[in-house]
Amino acid sequence: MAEVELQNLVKQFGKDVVAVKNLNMTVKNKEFLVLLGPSGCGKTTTLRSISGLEIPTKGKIILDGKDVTRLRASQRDIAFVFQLYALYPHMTTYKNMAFPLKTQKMPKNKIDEEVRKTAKMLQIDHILDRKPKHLAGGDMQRVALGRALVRRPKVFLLDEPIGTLDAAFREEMRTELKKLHVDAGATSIYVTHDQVEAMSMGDRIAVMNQGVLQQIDVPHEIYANPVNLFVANFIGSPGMNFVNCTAAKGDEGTFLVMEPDGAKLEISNKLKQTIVDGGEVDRQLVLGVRPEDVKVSFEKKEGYLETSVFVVETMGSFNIVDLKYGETIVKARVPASVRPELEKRAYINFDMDRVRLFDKETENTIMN
Amino acid sequence: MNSTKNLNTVNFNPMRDVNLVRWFVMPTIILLIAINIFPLLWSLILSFTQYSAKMRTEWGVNPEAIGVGNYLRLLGDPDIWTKFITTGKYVIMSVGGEMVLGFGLALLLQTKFKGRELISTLLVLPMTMSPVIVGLMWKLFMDPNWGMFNYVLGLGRIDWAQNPDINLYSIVIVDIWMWTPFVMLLSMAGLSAVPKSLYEAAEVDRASWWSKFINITLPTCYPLLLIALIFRVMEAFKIFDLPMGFVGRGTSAPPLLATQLYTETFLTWKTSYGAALGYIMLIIIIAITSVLIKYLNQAKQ
Repeated sequence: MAEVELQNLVKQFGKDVVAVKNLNMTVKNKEFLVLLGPSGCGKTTTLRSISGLEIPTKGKIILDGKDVTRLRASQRDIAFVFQLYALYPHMTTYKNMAFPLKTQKMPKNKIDEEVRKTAKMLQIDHILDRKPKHLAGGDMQRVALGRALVRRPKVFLLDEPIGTLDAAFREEMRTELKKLHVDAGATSIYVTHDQVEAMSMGDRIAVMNQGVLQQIDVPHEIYANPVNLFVANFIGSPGMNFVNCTAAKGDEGTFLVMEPDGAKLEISNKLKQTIVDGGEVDRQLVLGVRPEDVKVSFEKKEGYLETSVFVVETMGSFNIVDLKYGETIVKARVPASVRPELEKRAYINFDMDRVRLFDKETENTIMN
Repeated sequence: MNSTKNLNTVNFNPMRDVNLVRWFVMPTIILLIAINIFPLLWSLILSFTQYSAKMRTEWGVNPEAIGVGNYLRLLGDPDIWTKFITTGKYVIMSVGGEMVLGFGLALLLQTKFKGRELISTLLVLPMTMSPVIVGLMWKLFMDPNWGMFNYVLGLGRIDWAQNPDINLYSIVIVDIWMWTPFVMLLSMAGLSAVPKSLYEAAEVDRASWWSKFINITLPTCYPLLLIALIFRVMEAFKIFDLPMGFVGRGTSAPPLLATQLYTETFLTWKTSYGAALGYIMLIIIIAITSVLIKYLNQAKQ
């Protein structure tokens, strides 16, 4: 049972650098929370503050109902997996894993039992007497995990633990890490800049940018209903498409006037309602749409926007077609068999149940 | 095939890179042979003879070969064993003190405080002085009549330099004063190489300060500490100039091996006997350092 609560957390370095700005967040018991954001967004600083390796400038950190803000890392029951492993170089795998138990003065036979059990679970029992220097990257990562797992802490903090592994192995480790988390039954906080990792592993994702928490929610919600332009673009590969537009009200009801060519775009009743209720008529908006929600036709169709094919990116199982609409690029996901020639006319429309509308000025969504 | 042969043999060009390198290295090699390698071998030959540099020499008459006679006489002399023990005591005390103090100072200088650079620089100064000068300076410093040392510490009139019961320890103090910075410098280099993340990992693993020191700091600094130890043992074992400046060559000088070597060779002019003693010291130093170097290689691996 361990819940982590951050209250108005602020971490400042020197006078000018504010790494984390007023962060409020609760990580539930046994949850796998992913802190996601571009580099320099404050996610690692947040993690280090939770661990006690950094002392926050302001705010509180509550671990399991207890205020630990001023406690040192050694006084909090947490384990930290470092990005570059930080294994003790002169100790063997066995000693590395035994170290956190030894500092707790656990009896020798008990230590032995725990280390061997954990090593077996991580499939590193054959390299117990090797030093880190003689280990491959993946094995080093497993040892680092083993050192964290062996003491069964309340909270696991992982700082981009698989960022340095090669791609194929990273995929394997993703599954393994998630399984370990479930088996260990502890709360995990996982920092990464890789949105694929975040989507595939997180129970919930907290997206950060420039020290500010943008959105915290389950992966599919973050994907489908991003709260602002940053989250919409950061999540997804490629990210969400944005087209500038203005909401207008005519005789036949509310519609969108698309920039730059002023084409009218019919929208769903639900969107009409949102626009009218929100008082967004005649306001500058941004329409956001996922590549898979872009409908492409190579014949002229009523109510579709006219674009031209700019680039075709072959992805294997599908293709991404970059369509030029004025100066805006709209990326559409099409079947692998569709490979239009460049400069070809294409007509697009969007799945209106799935588009998101954002306010151009505030960059926040106007939908709930 | 033919053309390369021509280049190498027929067209010898003294200005080619390879040849230029040889010209530059040659003077050093000649000098080394003349003042280092030749005397080394010549003294080895002398150590198996009976010879005094002061005596008139006619080639073929003097030096007179006496085999291992010098060595046997040396090792049979009960006095020489006292000197070995004294030298050993000296090495252990001074090098031990230097290692502990030097590493300790380096640890203290890890904390960032104002004037840290200035203090490190000042601490290194003793090392940059000539040992004879250091000896002479401390002789004045520790003078029983008007020296500052006794006065500041309020110790009365202790004769640090000339009292044969204590002057060995005085020299140990001076040696520590002079060479602690050397150990400190190497330790600082070692300490700066310890990755910060290891300390963080140990902090998360709930290690105590002592445990971090034993498990992270010491093992990481160990190779550099060994290098410092090797240098210091070598130097301390053959210490001569410092006691020479500090005590002088009177009878009260502490019975150290190198002092004895000097006495035999240049005061009583038993040159070949001195050469034999020199070789015995060389063998001991090589033995000690090769053991230490073995540990060093293990640590590096």
